[in-house]
Amino acid sequence: MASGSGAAAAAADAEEKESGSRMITLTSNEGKAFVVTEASARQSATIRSMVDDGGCVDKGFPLPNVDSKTLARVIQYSDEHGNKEPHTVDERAALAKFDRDFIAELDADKAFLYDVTMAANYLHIQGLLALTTQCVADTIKGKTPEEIRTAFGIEYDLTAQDEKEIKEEDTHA
Amino acid sequence: MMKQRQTVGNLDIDSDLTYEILLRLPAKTVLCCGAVCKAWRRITTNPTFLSNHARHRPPKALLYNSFGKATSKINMELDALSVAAHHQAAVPERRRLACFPRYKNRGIGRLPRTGVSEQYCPLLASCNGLLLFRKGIGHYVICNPATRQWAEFPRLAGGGNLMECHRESGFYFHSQSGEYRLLCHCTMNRKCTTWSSRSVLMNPGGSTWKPLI
Repeated sequence: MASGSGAAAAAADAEEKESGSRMITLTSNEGKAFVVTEASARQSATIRSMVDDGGCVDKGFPLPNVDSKTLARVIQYSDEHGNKEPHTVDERAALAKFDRDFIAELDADKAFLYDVTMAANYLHIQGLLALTTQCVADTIKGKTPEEIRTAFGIEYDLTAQDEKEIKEEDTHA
Repeated sequence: MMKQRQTVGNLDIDSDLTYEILLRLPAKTVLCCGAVCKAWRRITTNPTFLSNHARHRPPKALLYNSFGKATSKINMELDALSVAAHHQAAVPERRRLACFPRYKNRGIGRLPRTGVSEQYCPLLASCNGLLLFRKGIGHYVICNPATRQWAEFPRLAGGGNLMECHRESGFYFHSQSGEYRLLCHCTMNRKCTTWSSRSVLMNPGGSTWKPLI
């Protein structure tokens, strides 16, 4: 029994190793192909489920919602997080530093930040989504509703009833 | 993403993504975001969002005060006291969250007959960041200090039977209906015992009490 499960575990391990070395092609909406390791591609829950469903790994995955510039940046993130697993304190610190630098660069270009955020959402890359949405959230912090509307190009559509409720919420403080 | 962008700040905010972003904001900003537009207000007042949000926030101690006199106004106040990451500060950050709106005591008879030392409107329970208070006999209010919303449960009454006593047994989130529910154990004068459950959405009103047994 023990040796049986040991062999099964070893087989699964070997399979994992093999699948880890597979390469996967992701294609942007401009038709540009990006070849990445499976470990990197598996950072995306969307792609992970397609691969696990025995999907068309060989044919690659077209991503009609992501442009080349955004995809390149997303891959930069998932390579860093997928291809190596941090074991030591130093490695974890290096990865945290990578995240900080990565988001600082995006923060300087808001339009691009939003593109990457939407791509992370579409591809379900949890770590990247947490990083980018936190960054967007930080830009909202401290703004008035009017400033938020301006920043995101949102139209004011609240009713008189809504306004009354909002006023009440304010006076309860 | 394929859309033509009109301004730099024009994030294509589908509600999915907005949800993720608003989840990461402090309570005070969430309140502010509820005044941005209808779509955002729908998210920030949604009970599921609020319970999710409460789980994401760092721990805070909640200080609750209630004081008053039999015939005058009763004050209920909530202050948040940050308990995380402020070790260096001599006085922890304290912030007024909410105080109960327009609450006037209508006479001593309506207050629960308890010991002299017990506070008015005792805080009974909390669930997903919501607080349950007993305002009077068979009369409950809930408060979300993060959004400063208050909601009253409809009065608990015995229907045809005179209710002799009741006791709160549970306060919980019913995920299927998205409602917060209060389970009460009631005893009627005809010597029958009933479990009653009442649900209330995070807006005043709510549905009627439903006898369970």
